[in-house]
Order: sequence, then C-alpha cells, then structure tokens
Amino acid sequence: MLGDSRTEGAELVLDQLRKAYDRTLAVEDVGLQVRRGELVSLLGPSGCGKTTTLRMIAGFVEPTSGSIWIRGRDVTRLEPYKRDTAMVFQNYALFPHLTVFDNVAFGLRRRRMPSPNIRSRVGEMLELLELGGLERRYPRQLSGGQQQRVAVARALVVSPSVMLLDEPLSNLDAKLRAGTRVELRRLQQELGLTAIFVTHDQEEAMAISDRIVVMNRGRIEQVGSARDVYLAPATQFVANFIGASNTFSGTVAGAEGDSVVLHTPMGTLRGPRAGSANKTPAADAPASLIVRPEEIRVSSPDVETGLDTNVVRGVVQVSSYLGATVDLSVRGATARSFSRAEPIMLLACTRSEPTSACAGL
Amino acid sequence: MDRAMEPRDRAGVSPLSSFDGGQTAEVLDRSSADGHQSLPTAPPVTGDEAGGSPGTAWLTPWVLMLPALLLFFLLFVLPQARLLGYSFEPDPQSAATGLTLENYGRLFGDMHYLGILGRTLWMGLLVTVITLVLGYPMAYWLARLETRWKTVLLVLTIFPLLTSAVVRSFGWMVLLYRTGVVNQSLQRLGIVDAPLPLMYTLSGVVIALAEVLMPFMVLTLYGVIRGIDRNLEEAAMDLGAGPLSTIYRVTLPLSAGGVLAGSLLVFSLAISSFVTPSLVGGPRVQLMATAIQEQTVSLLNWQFAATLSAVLLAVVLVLALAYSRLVERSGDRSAVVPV
Ligand SMILES: Nc1ncnc2c1ncn2[C@@H]1O[C@H](COP(=O)(O)OP(=O)(O)O)[C@@H](O)[C@H]1O
Ligand SMILES: [Mg+2]
Repeated sequence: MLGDSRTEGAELVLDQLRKAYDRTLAVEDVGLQVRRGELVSLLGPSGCGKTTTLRMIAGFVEPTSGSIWIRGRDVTRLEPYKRDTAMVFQNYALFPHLTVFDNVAFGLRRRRMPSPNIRSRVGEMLELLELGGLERRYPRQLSGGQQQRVAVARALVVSPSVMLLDEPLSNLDAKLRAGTRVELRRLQQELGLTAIFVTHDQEEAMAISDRIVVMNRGRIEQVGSARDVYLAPATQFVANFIGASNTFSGTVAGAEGDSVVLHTPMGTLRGPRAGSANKTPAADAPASLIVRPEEIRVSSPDVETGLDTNVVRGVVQVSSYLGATVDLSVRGATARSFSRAEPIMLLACTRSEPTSACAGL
Repeated sequence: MDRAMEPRDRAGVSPLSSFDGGQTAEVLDRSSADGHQSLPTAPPVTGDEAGGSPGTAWLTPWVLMLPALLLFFLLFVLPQARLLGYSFEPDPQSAATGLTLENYGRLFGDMHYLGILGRTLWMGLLVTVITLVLGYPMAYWLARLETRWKTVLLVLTIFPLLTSAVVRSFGWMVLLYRTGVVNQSLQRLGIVDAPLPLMYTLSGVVIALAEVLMPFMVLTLYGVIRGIDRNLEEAAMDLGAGPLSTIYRVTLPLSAGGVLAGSLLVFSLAISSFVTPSLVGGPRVQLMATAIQEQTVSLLNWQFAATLSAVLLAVVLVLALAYSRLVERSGDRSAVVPV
C-alpha cells in the first residue's frame, strides 16, 4: 500500500509494477511518479517492456504484482473502460466503419454527452488538429498524417487524466515525424496534459519529454531529463543507448578529488565519477570512461596540445561530413568514434589521405 | 499513404502515347506515380523477358483453367440447362404440347405447394437465426482464444462435417423420439408433463439441421472475426465502451460481412437439404427437397420436380445477388455494412 505522501500531487503512480508471461518477465519492478502536466517518455530497445507497461496503465494487461494509481485512486484491477486514460495506438486503431466525426465522438457518446455538446466539442477538437472539413471521411480516405491526428483527437477529446501514446509517430515518414513531434509537444503543453509517450527513438524522446524513463529488459535503468540521461548516464546501458559514445575500459589507478584516473590500453585517462562509481573505487578495479564525441577535440599530431593526460593518438579511418559536424572514426585501441563541431582544423588533412590524429579529451 | 487520394498525374504520359501502346504507358505511369520525372529516353519493356512468346501470354490462364472449366460446363451448366428445360415441358398427365408454363402455374396456384415453399423458407430462416445466435459467441470465443488448445477446439468444430449427415440424423432421431433422451430428461426434471412432439415435426427438423449446419456458420464467422484488429476493440474499451457495447458497436458491424456470408451459406444449405428433413421430419413434414424426391422417384413427374428445383435455385440466386450487392455497396465505404 502506498502512503498518501507518495501519491499526493502525482497524477499517475506506478508502484513495483511487474508482469510475468509464461517464459519472460516482461516488466520488472517498475516504479514511477508522473506529475500533472508532465510528459514522460518510456524509452528503450524493442522488447524491453514499454508497450506492456503502457498497456498495464490502460488496463489491457493485468499486472502480476504491483499497483497503479491515477489521481490518488488505485486502479490496478479496474476495467479499461472505467479508467480515465486514453490511448493513441501505434497503428492508430481508427474504427474503419465510422467517419472521422464518429470516431472522435465515440468516447463522448459513451460518456452520454448530449449531442449538441458533442457536435461542438468534436468540432473544436478537429479544428485544433487541423482536421476541419474531413468530418465525413472514412479513415481509409485519409493520409497517414491525417489518420494520426484523428487518433490523437479521438483520445484528446475525452480530456483524459493520463494520455498514453504508443510510438504514435513511428508510422509517419521521417519528414512528417519531426514536425508532428513538435506539434504534439505544443498541444500537450498548451492543454496541460499528463502523458506517457512510448518510443524506441532516443532523439524523439529527448525532443519531446520533460523526463525520460530509460528501460532495458523490463527494468528501469534511469529516470531523468534529457540532459540528465545524456550527460550523466546512470549505467553503461544508458550511456550506450542514448547518443553516441566512446568507451575506454581499463583499471582504476587512483582517485583525485572528484575524478578518477584509469589505466587504459590507450593511455592514462582521467574523468569524473558517475553512476555506480559514486563511492571511491578500489585500485585495480575494472572501470570504464565514457566520452561523448562532441567532448573530444581533434588536432593533427604535430600540434602541441600542452596536455599530458587524456590525449589519445590514432589514425583517421573514416571521415563523414554531416554538415554541422564531421564524424571521424579513429583507429586506436578501443575508441569507437570521435566527432566534433565545426570548424575542424583536421578537415583538409583527413580528406587527402588517412593520417594519424591526436585527440584531446 | 493512400495512393487513391492523390490524383495521378497522367500529363507526363500523353505526349508519348505515339510511342508503343500499353507497355510504354505502364512503365512511364509507374515512374510518374513515384514522383520521378518520366523520361522519353527509357526504352519500352517488351514481353520477351518473360520467356514465352509475347503474343500468346494472355492464353496461359485460360489454358490452365481449361480442365476446370470443362468439368464445370459438363457437370453443372449442361445439367442445369437440362433441368430448366424440363421445367418448361408438360408433365406426363398433361394434354399440352411444346413449351409451357403449366408447371409453374400449378406450383404457384396450389396452396399445397405454396405451403411447402413457405414452410421451407421459414425452416431455413429459423435454422439460420439459430446457428447465427448460437454460432456467433462460439466463433468470437474461438477467434479470441489464445491457448495451444485452440487447434484442438477448431478441429472439434469441424469434426461433425467428417461424419455423414445420415449418421448424425439417426443420432438426432434417437435423441428426439417420444421416449428419446431429450424427452426423458425433460420429464424426469419435471419441465414437461407429456413428451414433446419432436420427431416428425418441423421443430425436430430445425433442431437437427441447426446442429448439422452449425460448423459452416461458425467457421465463416471465425475467419472474419479473426481478421478484426484486436486494437479496435481495445480502443473502444479505452474510450469507455463496456464489453457488450464494444461488441455491438465495433465487432458486430465489422463482422457484418461474415454474418451475411454465413447466413447465406446456412440458409441455402438448409432449404436444399434432403437427408435430415426426410429422416427427422419424415413424410409428415413436407419440404421442398422431400417434395422433389417424391415427384422424381414416386410419381415419376420429372417435369414438376424440375420446376420445384428451379424455384429453389431461383431463391438462392436472388439471395446471393442481394448479398453481393450489399457487400459491394458497403465496400465503397470501407466497412462491411452500414450500421
Ligand atoms: N502477450 C504476450 N505473451 C508473451 N510474451 C509477451 C506478450 N506481450 C509481450 N511479451 C514479451 O514481453 C516483452 C516486452 O514486450 P513489449 O512490452 O511489447 O516490448 P516493447 O514495447 O518495449 O517493444 C517481450 O519480450 C515480449 O516478447
Ligand atoms: Mg512496443
């Protein structure tokens, strides 16, 4: 049982939520509190339990154990049609035999709203999502983007306590996706909606969320803002899953204040403690240093860097010009890739022929 | 997403129509649909790549269908034509010669035969409604079931079809007799005082036929319900519809095509069935099929038997046409049928 102090102010609370199927543990001890008006993403690779978690909140999947609270009420065993949630399905699940208007009005009719009110409310919602004039169309007569907006309108119109979105953008083409993402975020903030947004796309999660829940194998790896999970990953998994990163594995040589010195095959490296390294690690214990590509400065080997630690030498193998950045793959022990923002001094060099490079971390 | 929504730009094709007939146009059309500029320099694709000589390629499907078409013609079209021919010939007792509508006049002018026709249609309707009402929940349950027993249950559903209708009808006779299992149980339980007349009545025929034809209804509905995206039912519940409301507003309308198809199938089979009505109904329950048999075998009046058959066939044909019209009309609107 949860004390009032933990459910207070939280629109949605998941407590020790767990779902076991015959052979797999799909969701394991997931705990989360979502504030009113907050958009929280569930982010993780395919099969990590995002959809199962979402469907437990909606009531389609019964948890093996744990509880779900919406606005301070325990809804764990409540039927889906009695819950105050609304879901946007990955395939939209629009009723093919109903018009756009009837699709959007469906939830209001089940709530026995008088029909003049339904008419105006649905009209408002269609206006809001720029679907005006399409009332009498059937779903199959709409483009993918329009179908997606109808699905959103159909969920929004019932003013749910919690809106649940299961990869709502994954069926749109890339061009439409980024725009729709911003549009969705704007709508959510404008209406003060509480929302759970499932995605496997880290960029999407970072762009749209107040907080990100990174999941792996049914468990929560880290909960935090986009900045938190990117700059201070709690686990190796988070570091690798969110953004590109270079991992230098080695052993602990010693600690100096807030930083730890590592012996690695690429030399002696120094970095701040993070995640599980919060207590001073023992000497010779295995440890990894994770470096974001944009934290790396690249220069040609003959330039004097003036640094004695955190310098790695290597040979540029691939240089990919991406406009705003140039991604370099540098061969040298374990480093995967370096990249940095323009302008790059090394550019001319790497174009002519593979050369050795010197990277300052 | 929806190609049909975007009017295809055919303008790029027209200046090239002098090129080389259909195939060029098709190639260019494809590229313009993809949004590319269609270039007149692209050489037309010829049929040579397909292997055979281009002139006879269209023949292939017909050659492949030939045996089936031949059988269909010999075993269906010819006999049906002959049957229809018979129905316009004067019967043995008649003084008329040449082609005549006498048989049809006799059928539609005689309350006895109209009664048989009416009783048959009524029986078909009852059987259809019973199989539908009992079969729909069963089909729904089977379609939504997720266990490894599912296959076993499906085979059990089909199992009755593997036994002869004669055997099953005898089974029903054992059950339905005055001293049969059904009546004895009802009497022991004190539900009825005297045994119900079930054998040699229309009720008995309807009960037995409903069982015999049930697999057709269940299997037809099963296929259609299986094809309905579960997410749609979940979406309905998510929006506040209870289980019954969900079935009524989502599942049922989306399976209307299956309901129609299953009903048509069961109705046609019911009104033309012979074995079960003749065994369970006996001579006291006169139906079309038994009447046809009587005319053919006992009275040797093939002309009138043919007339009865033709009318039965006409009923089924009209229903099939109405069905396809309904499906076509609702096809324009994506759903199977309007709600
Ligand atoms: N109905 C089910 N029966 C058995 N296993 C399931 C079922 N639904 C999901 N799973 C398993 O649970 C795990 C999590 O699935 P899911 O929540 O769909 O992942 P995600 O949405 O993150 O891709 C997967 O390993 C999946 O195979
Ligand atoms: Mg999923």
